[in-house]
Amino acid sequence: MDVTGTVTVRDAFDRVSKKQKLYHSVTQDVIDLVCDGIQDTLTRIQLGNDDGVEPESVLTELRRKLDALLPIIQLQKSHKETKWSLSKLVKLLEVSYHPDISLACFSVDFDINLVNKILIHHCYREGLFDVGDCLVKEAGREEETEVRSQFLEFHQIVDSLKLRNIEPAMRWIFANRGKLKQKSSKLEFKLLSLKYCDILREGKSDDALEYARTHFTQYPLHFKEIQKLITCLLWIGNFEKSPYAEIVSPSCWDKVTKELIMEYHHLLDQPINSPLKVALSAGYESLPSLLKLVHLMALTKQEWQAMKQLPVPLELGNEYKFHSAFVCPVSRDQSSEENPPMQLPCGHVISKQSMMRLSKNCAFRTFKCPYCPAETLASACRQLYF
Amino acid sequence: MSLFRIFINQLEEDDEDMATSKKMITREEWEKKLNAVKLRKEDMNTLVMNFLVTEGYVEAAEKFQRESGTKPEIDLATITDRMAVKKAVQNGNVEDAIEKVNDLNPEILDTNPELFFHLQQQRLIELIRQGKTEEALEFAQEELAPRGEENQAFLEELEKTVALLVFDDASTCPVKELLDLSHRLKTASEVNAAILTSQSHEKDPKLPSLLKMLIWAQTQLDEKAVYPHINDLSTGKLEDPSE
Repeated sequence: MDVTGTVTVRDAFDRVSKKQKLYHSVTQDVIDLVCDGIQDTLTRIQLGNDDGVEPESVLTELRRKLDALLPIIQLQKSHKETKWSLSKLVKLLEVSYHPDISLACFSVDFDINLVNKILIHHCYREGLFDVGDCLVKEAGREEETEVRSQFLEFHQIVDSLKLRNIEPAMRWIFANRGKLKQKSSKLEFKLLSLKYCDILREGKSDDALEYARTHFTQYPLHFKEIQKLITCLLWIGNFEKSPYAEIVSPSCWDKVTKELIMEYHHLLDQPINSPLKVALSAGYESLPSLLKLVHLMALTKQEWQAMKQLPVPLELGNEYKFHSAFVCPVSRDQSSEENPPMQLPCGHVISKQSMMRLSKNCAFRTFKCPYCPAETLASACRQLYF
Repeated sequence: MSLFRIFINQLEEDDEDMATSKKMITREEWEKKLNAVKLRKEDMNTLVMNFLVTEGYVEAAEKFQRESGTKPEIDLATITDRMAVKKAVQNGNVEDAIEKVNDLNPEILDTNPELFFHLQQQRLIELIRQGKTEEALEFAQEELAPRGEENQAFLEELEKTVALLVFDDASTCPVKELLDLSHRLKTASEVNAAILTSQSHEKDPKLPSLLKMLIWAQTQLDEKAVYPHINDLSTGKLEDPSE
């Protein structure tokens, strides 16, 4: 939704809220007056019994007093005003928001096995092992046990790190030392540094020095970091004002945990975010544009289903760009395996189908580049790979 | 050195006659020209005394004064004090050295923060060498950390020094040269230079400078002539050219 619409809806909502508060206040006042009158009458009737006053005359007086208040009229007036504001808000909501987002739905023939796999992986990624196991059993996909054990280990490591326990992480690092070394991973040293800094923050310089002697001497490549870490000993009890406040800060645990999460997924050749989560996030971000499109074009269900290509681009953030895709500047078609991008000798790129059309399907007939005056042969063009 | 200047001037005049080859000077000719140079004995003696005084050889300087009659530029008594400081540093008694420096002149360390830091650093090194870890940490916290906060270069040197605590086996430590005796000598030389400067005395003896100039002059002359060389400065022996 555009910002203007949101502001308008908020204003209308605020107005309704204000009217409702006023209505409540007026109603309360009227009821209080009526109650007071009735209470006063009851008191006088009781007193009247002793003096011999007739109850009928007291009740007649009460009725006259209540009629003078006109409570019904006041309540009706306030109620009418509130109702009017509310109906105005409802109209605005209908204009600004789509109550039925199914208008943007597009039927797709899903590969049921792929969907099951995505759901199972998502459950394991999120640590919902019971749900995932149940789904595996019902869908008959027993081959997902490896993924399960991988993410089980992953969650054990991350949960332990939240408790400042590096043992499971170190076990994983030792088991994958060769691969991590190829990637120039510094996780091993960084985790040990975190423990060392924890000891420092507790003010135990002897323990910290002992820990450093035991662990740091095996990492000559990290000598610069070791120098700074040891010098931190001189500022024990006063780290906030030291040159090393950032190094000793507990927030380093979060940084190193994120780094481990990235490296863990890289080692498994898995994306960091669940594919299901990515798809839902992208859809959530695209939905407003799609709804507006359907509304503007007044598409029927059949027309919407028949559409193969959106007439406008959807703008998603950089985090949703995974692979490059080439769009032919001549035909506007996106490249595919059957229709790959072809580079002309002059350097410009068009799709294969466009190239065939321009050369009239003859490998030895020259045609002009759509972008520049250069002439070329279809046989001189080369396929591009991204 | 004027001899070399004369030679260079002559060779420049002769260049037009024999541009294709260097001039050949025989040993007899060379020695004859050397003998023509007049050196006063008093200048030689002054040079030697300068060296002895600057390097702090008090007894030698006293004997030389008696035998040759050459007067030292400064009071020899001050040399004794300076050498006591230097010896203290070389022996690892940095605390003692600092006291002695302040006795000589309290302003030396005040006006030279880098020297003071290096003395304190050397003291930390000595504590680490003796295995007094707690004392070393305490000293570094109180004396060196505040200076590190003020000066990034000091902080980096402090980081190197404190890292010695982690490596029990000094041979595996990347900064093990700090524990060498040569580092003591380096610090001692730094103190010596500062004391000499504070006494308005040149901090380097003249003799090494002259020897460097001799080598430079020979290098220059090699481009224009072939002549007997002095290759070993310690003997000063003339050697015939290899050609």
